[in-house]
Amino acid sequence: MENATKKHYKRYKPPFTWRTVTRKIFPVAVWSLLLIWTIVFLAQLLWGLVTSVKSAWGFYIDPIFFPKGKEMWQFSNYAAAFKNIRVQITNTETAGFFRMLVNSLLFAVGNAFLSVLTAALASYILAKYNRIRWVGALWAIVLITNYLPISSSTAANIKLLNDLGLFDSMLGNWLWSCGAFGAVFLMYYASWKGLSWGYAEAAFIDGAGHFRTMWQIMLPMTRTIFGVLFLMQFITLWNDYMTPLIYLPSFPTLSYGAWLLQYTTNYETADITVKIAGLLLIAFPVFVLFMCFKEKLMGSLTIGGLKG
Amino acid sequence: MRKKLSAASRTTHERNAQIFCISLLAFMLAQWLVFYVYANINNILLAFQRFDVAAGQYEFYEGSRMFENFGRFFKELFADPKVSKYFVNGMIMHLVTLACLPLSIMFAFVIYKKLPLGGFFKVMLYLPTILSSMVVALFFRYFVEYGCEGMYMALGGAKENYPLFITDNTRAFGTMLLYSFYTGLPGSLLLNLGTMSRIPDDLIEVGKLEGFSLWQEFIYLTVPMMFPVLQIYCLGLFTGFFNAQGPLFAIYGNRLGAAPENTVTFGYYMTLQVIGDVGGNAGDNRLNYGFTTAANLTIGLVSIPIIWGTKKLFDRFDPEAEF
Repeated sequence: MENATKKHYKRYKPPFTWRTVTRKIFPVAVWSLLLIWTIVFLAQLLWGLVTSVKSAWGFYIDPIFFPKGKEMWQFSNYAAAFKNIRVQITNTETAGFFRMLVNSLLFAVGNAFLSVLTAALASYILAKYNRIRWVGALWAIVLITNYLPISSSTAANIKLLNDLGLFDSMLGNWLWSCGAFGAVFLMYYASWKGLSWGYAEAAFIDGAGHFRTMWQIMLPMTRTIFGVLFLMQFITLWNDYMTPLIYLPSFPTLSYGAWLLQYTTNYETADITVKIAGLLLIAFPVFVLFMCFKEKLMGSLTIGGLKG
Repeated sequence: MRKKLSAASRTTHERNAQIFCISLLAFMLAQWLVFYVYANINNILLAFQRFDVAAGQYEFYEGSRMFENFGRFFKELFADPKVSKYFVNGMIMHLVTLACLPLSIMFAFVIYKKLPLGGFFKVMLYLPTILSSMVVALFFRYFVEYGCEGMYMALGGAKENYPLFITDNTRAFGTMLLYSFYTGLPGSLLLNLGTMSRIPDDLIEVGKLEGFSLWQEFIYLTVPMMFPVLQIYCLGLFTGFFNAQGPLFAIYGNRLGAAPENTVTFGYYMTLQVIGDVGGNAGDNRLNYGFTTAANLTIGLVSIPIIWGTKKLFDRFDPEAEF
């Protein structure tokens, strides 16, 4: 009997319909598309890497493949990019690589830390103290402001920062980044929601206050999400060249310097090989950071969670 | 055995909770009041102002000229065919990003289902997120300009016949759209994967018992379960609908006229009005601050009903969706 059923299943062929084709083709088609995308992206990266170590002559002769012959290699492109990533701040003042590196670190670490810390604290209150009526109302305001398409224009922001005396000030930029109710807030909010309030209740019964419970019990339990969000913010800010260009003209960062290098046309930077080396110079630190924290960074992150 | 809080200590506890919440949120609320509420008020006021170069300060337009900045915006938008085209270009560029959304979710699904090379794909798809958008855009530019040209020549093409995909006015916009599509495909990979990984195993198990194929699992389980996140994506996508800039600033820089005319988007045009050529605190650009702010405000106001309409549509489609 069992054999007969097996035979029956073997013999049965589903009718050929577009639906069955879709079912079968879907994973293969998406996987293939993904493979093509990956190949194109890798080819582009590899081409950039190879080009960055070619001499101008080597690049002219063969713009695609590995340099042939010793004289076609030119690692000094990186040194040239390093030397020429500089920004003229005033007529007499220029920022070089190391100054921009310090600016990049101040900008990225300061803003990332403050934005995640404020988001963590604010979302803690809104997720765990929503029984308080005004906290609940605040949550509604946060949601509305996050989805309202109204935000002040770049021009209005420049004027506002000028009015407050915070334009072209790192401290002003840090203050500005303390906005606790943005996308980082929503991600942290989701993780607070997933954390049991039972830990806090146990701490309250043991005599801990609200602050101590948050600081010593609850916040340490979210240190992974804090770290991941900090890293994500850091990477975003490290790569951000627009904010320093617009709001911090006296604090040029490496990203801004590398962007400016693309439009600089002096003798040393005219070659495309040097320009690409300049781009790789600023991409390298975040790539290393990514490889070190790959597993943590690519762990579970969610906004809003699932239904049901 | 742990004791419960008494009624008196519960009252004290609640009062302390109020004090704790107020003191912890005080700084953040003050910051929000200044950098969100006041910034938006300032934004509205600036839309009715002009910069007086001689006096070095902003002044309100008076009387019948009150809406001068808005008038300039509408005049440029409807009377200047160039600006109308910028506006349409921005919308097309944003629609391309919108078109990437389903594919990016499918990509995440392939990785989530651990199909071959899933781990490798995951790293590759995440790379554009960690690299600067400027680096990715300029790599793309140089690759198209020089790398593809080299391949074209290697295949026997003549250098002078290779099309100028980046600088040719008839081809550049298509190249920018291709770039937007190409870089939009990874989408928000981590969020998609994180959300998919939280789908209960029981449900997937039921699907397996029902004989679901991967396509059926994707359509009938994954997408409906991701509905709240999809809702957020869609609402977020509409916010940039009218002022999408694309990769133009990274690729063509901040020099007026550097980008081929056909590629310019309204967002890029507005950015150049404020920081074009010389940077943020340049005196002449301040003459455009009122105009760009009026444009930004008008676009924001027009977007509100679109976003709320979308939200209502989602609620009607699935009222149980929650954030």
